[in-house]
Amino acid sequence: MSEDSFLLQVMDVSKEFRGHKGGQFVAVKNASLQIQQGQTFGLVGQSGGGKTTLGLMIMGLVRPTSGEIRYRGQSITGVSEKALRPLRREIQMVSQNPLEALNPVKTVGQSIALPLINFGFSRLHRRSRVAEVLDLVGLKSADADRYPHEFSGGQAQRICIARALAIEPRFVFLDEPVSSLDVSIQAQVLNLLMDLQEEFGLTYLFVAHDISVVSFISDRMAVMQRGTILESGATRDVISNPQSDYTKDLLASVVNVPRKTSARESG
Amino acid sequence: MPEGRGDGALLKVDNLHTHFFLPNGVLKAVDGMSLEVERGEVVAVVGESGSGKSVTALSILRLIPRHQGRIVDGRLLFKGHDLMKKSNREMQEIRGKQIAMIFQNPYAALNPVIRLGDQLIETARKHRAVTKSEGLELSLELLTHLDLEDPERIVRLRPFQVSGGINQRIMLALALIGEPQLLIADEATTMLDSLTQVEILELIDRVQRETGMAVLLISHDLGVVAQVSDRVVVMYMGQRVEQAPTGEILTSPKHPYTIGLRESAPDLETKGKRLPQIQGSPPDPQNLPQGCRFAPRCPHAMERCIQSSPPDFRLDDNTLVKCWLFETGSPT
Repeated sequence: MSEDSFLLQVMDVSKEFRGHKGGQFVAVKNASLQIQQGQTFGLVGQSGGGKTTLGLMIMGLVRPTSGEIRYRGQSITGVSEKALRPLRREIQMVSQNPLEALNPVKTVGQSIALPLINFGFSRLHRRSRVAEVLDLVGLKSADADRYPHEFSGGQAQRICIARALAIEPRFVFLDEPVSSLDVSIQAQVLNLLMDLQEEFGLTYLFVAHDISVVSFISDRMAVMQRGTILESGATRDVISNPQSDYTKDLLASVVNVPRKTSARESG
Repeated sequence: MPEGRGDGALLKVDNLHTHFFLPNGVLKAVDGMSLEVERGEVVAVVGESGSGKSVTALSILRLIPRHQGRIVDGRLLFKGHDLMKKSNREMQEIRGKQIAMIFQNPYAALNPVIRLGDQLIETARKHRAVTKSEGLELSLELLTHLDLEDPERIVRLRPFQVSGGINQRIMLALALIGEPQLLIADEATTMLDSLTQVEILELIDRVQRETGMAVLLISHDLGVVAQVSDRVVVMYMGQRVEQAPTGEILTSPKHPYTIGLRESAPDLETKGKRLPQIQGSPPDPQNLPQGCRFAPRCPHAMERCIQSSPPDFRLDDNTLVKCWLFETGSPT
């Protein structure tokens, strides 16, 4: 596998946060991972394990203490904000709580248009693009004039996905995108994410604490605990042959029961 | 519900209606809900947000804020006594001592400025005739029993200084200190990560076995409650749509909604393909469909389902389904 096939490479990255009393907390410790173009890389682990911090470093929102992150072969750590700007258009994010991620006093259309304004789309172009992405995520173009509180959690998450996709990114960091959603809605959003990936060749970093969700959507995955990546590999291998005790515990926490479902016959 | 079963039950909720009166109309959060909990039994109530699970729990404890809503119909029997007829003072004797409840967010449920130990002592003294030092001793004993490491140190801390898992153990201790006969756990593990979740559930399970108290476990996650419950009651839009022993709900769910819930949750074997999903979203609770409430999303909906709401059909002693597909069963 050549180096070029990786859209994103995280190389030996650490992040240390320092407290005001000189205390320090190592959120991420010597993490390395590589994500191939068009694939989904899953990151699973407990809360406080460093998953989000790692994602935010990839987003360029948190600076690593050491190590390097390369996007399309180009280093994005330690470069100027100006040099990062063209890349910001390619790297987008969807966070856990959609109703907190949307501005409550702006219409959905205004929220989705914001990244478009930022990257210089004309007013006319913006309007058609907002309608386009709303349609992509299964909402109506008339929804652009409504406010976030008028939507359910699942619909609001669709809006956040629409906003992330508005400027046609290549890479999307999905930070617990379904954990605040009800089970039936969770399936809709997971299916939507997979459809969009197929249609646009998107690359995902998918972070979640639920190993069954991560294993479902990821081509490759890593297990993180207390800032350290314990193991990583093809999802199938990690699931069927876990190496660390922590991964084994996570797998054991999932109830696996045979499905035998029929609406009528069994009654 | 035929007479017999449920009458000797520890808790019997019968045709409960709890409505909220909002400026723009009535919200029927719980609308004809029934369930029973036998002594020593663990019953899970499963449903999505807005299904009325929490309102059912709060109704049982008569904790619905009076200016917002009220129980408009139905019966609540606890050990055969009608909770609806109890005075506020009598209810206060029941809350915490006979029926205790733990909530989803321990940070919100605990007092942020009072040391954890003092909160335990206060509760111990409320429910048992003990002195402060006896209360502390009792609390430490209980915390040790709940696998809390270094309880002497923890009781001197305040809620924000400890993790969610520890706070949830404190909540559990607060609930258990009055030695209740029924514990209601409302999404008690939802905020915790998967491993801590398992720990807390195992703890509830163990205490339940030791004390023989009954547990009403409320959750949106069927997978979570399946690990410890004897029976599952599935709720949708304020009503019970299915009730069956846990094993049966997991292996052969009957109601199309339960089937949808089961199938739409990914497990470790579903990989690469699309998940079966329940179409659409729940209806507006202030504008419910006139027939079956699930009909607009149901893959099996018939003309009849849109016309009229199905009764509960009893398939056997333990299984009830509120769905016209099961009309062959006897309506209750």
